[in-house]
Amino acid sequence: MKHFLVWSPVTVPGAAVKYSVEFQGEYERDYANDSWIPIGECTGISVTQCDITEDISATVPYDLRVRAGVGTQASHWATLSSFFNRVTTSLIPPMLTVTADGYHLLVELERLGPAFEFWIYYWKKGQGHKVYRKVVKDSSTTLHMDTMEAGTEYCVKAQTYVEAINRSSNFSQVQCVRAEGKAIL
Amino acid sequence: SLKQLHFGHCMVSVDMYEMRKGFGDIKEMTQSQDQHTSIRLLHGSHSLQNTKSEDRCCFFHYLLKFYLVNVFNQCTEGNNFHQRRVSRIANNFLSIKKELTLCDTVTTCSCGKEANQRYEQILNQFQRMDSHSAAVKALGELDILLDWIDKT
Repeated sequence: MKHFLVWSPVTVPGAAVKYSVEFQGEYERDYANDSWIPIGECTGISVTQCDITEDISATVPYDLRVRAGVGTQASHWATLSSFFNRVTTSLIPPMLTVTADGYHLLVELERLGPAFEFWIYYWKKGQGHKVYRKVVKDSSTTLHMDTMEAGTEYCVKAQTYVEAINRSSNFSQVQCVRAEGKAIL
Repeated sequence: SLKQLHFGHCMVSVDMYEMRKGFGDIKEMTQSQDQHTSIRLLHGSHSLQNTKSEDRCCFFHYLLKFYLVNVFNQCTEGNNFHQRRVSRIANNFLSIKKELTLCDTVTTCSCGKEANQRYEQILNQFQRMDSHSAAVKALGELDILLDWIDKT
């Protein structure tokens, strides 16, 4: 799970604008004199985004600020309009590739890192009332979901879940594939 | 990676992965700065898991407040990386304390004699040192507390 702070660029003709980012958690506000902590990797940078994942990893409200600088001159700080708490993160549906290899229903997932679980649902097309679910933590290998009946079409969809913030994504698009051979009617 | 701690009716979730990762990144440097190696704050005999269950909630609450008030804010100098990791742990502690405080109001988190005695002993040891050295020691002993939490 990644979190990025993104901001709009400041343009000063003929000058190289650099940006610096700082963060402040609830601890800094309540116990450490409202102090701010610079993010080393995002100090004096020219891109307009910063990976803040590691610095906002507690489930408390954080404030973030960024300012622009040209030489020794620096702008005022721009801060968030409201605090950010990672429990409000909206997860995007996972990308997956569903294939039929003979009678085998296979699923390939994207790698999202250790924080993610994948909930994968599959069913025989037309039998949406009978859905099977697999929970997968390791998405590094192709998954064998099931052995399919000959000539039968199976459909698959998936969502992600992050336990640390107790949030899940919407479902991915449904993908259907057909097993080889002739269906037995 | 979420550890569920049960105190009577309350349940508090602790993100052990975050805490271990945050501390693991600064453990060596922190422990190498400990100048009072003969003093130990978190004794195994006083561990959380060896505390009577009715005292555990309060003792744990004491420990969280102890770290938030006495330890983390004394450990913010040092390089930016160290500062950010201390912040990460401190904000995780605060998140747990807030959850526990909710519990406290919902159920009685009584502070029995044993919890008070144990906490007193930790404070007495802490006050034998200057505040910065004591804070560095307490931060260095965080893995002991994390082990206590894991075993509870």
